[in-house]
Amino acid sequence: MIKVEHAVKAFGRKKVLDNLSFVAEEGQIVGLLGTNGAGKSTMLRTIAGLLRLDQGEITIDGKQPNLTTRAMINFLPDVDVWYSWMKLSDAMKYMRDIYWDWDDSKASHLLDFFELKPSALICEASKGTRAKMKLLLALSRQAKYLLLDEPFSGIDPFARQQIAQAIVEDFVEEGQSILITTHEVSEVEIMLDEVLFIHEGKLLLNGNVEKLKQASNQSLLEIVKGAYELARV
Amino acid sequence: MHAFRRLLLTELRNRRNTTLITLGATLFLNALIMIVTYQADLYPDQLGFVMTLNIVVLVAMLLIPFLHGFTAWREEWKNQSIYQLLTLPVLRTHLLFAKYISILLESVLILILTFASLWLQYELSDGQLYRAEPLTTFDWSKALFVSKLVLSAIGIISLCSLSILLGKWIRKLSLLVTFLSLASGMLVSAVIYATLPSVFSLFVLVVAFIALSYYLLDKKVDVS
Amino acid sequence: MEFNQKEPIYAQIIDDIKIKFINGTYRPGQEIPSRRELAKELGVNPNTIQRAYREMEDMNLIVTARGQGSFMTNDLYVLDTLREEAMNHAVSQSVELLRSFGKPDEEILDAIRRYLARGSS
Repeated sequence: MIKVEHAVKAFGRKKVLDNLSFVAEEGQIVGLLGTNGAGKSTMLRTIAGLLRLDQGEITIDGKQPNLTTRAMINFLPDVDVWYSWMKLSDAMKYMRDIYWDWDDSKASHLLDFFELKPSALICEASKGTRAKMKLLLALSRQAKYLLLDEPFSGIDPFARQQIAQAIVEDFVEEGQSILITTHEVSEVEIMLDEVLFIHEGKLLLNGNVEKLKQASNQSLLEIVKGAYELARV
Repeated sequence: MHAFRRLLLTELRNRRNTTLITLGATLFLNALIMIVTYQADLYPDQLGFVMTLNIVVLVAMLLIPFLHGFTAWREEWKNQSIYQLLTLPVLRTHLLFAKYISILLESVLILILTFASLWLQYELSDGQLYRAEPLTTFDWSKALFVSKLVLSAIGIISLCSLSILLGKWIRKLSLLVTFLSLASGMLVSAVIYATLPSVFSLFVLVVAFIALSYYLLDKKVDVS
Repeated sequence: MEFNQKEPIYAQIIDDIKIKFINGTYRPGQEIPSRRELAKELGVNPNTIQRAYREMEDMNLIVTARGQGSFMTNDLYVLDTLREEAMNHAVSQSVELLRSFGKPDEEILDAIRRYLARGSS
């Protein structure tokens, strides 16, 4: 379980996380939605151990972000992090050596599913292909927590669909906990258990997607917009 | 250990092309010097000129691993692979040492080429270039001297990484911070060594630089 | 299957299976995709599918045998009840719509008779 309590983080004078608190239960897919710069990526990076909070506390299975939690977490950043000389096979070798929970059979299944070539250079691939490569490298592990930062951003609808399907398939098989940040609400709607809507570092909405829809008979986008309008008042 | 080996191999592969070029340049320049040695009339001042050439080339070539001490980290930030490195389930010390070892390796390779070249030049000059006996006999004071050199090399490399990490922590004027840290670090080291010119003080300095680098990398540096 | 964005997904899945049952796509006793298979096929969160299946089990619409998968109920009474419900729902929707246009009940009945007399097209 990931618990965030009263997280505050400022870059210079701007508060990117403003007293944010939530709990992500195990075995759930949680969506962090929000406008650009709302603090979603920052939140994910803090959980992954890349940033430290100014105030507040994050615990992953009761532990502060440290070496042990880093082994439990799989963080897929929204930027490209692989070296320019690396082919997909090089990156797979890299992951296999560094992470003990790398699963070769999963990797070959995803290679087929995404139709990727191991000999392809990562940095030369198109945006959609790169996204699939990154997801392959993330899903081929059996980490307990999967943090996906904007996995759909800037990708064509067909690739997005493949990526969404791969995520759900993996979740059905592994039952790990997934946190996804995105602004593509419609992409993730049907795969989410819980939704968190963040705006300017504050949590405006938090709840189970199905229950929210049942209560208000609106699409998730409309529910989220409603919360946004309410906050602006 | 798997993980560290992979980190190190990746580090070396990152630098593979520049290292090969550096070694190639070293070979080329040393070959030129050997030609000069071979053709030089064996007057003492001509040979003195050759030795100066050797020193100049060695220092110039060693500048490259020295700069690498900075660029190794700057590249990680520019390439954004720092996101990857800092989320890996490896100790931050592994990250530091992988870089240190790759830089040392590069320096050692340059030194090996240089020593080979010096030996050839010695042969070419029929033993006139320099006195060989001090180099081939062993005694403890020489071993101590060599270990001081090695420690100083490690010290410089760790000071470089410390300075770069300081610059990354204090975002404003990071280049200035790096430069000031480097300069003051060298000054402090020189003063300490002048006061206590022993292996022990060098050792303490190296440990301090490494510990500070570790502290910055683990606790202070933010990836924006 | 297309999802509309306003209704909860689990409700839409239940409705879809009801329709398939009524129109004969799924026969009584026929095996339906397991929760996991359906989740993967539709790209929907398996917890949502789980809720749908649980409710359908409570309604006696489906039966899940441990380790054997999920099956449509063999109970024809359930099928008949569903058909009744569907028909009543369709009728009330059409009639209320026409009433809201201001059509008197006599005209509505005549229109239905004329339509039925045309036979199936």
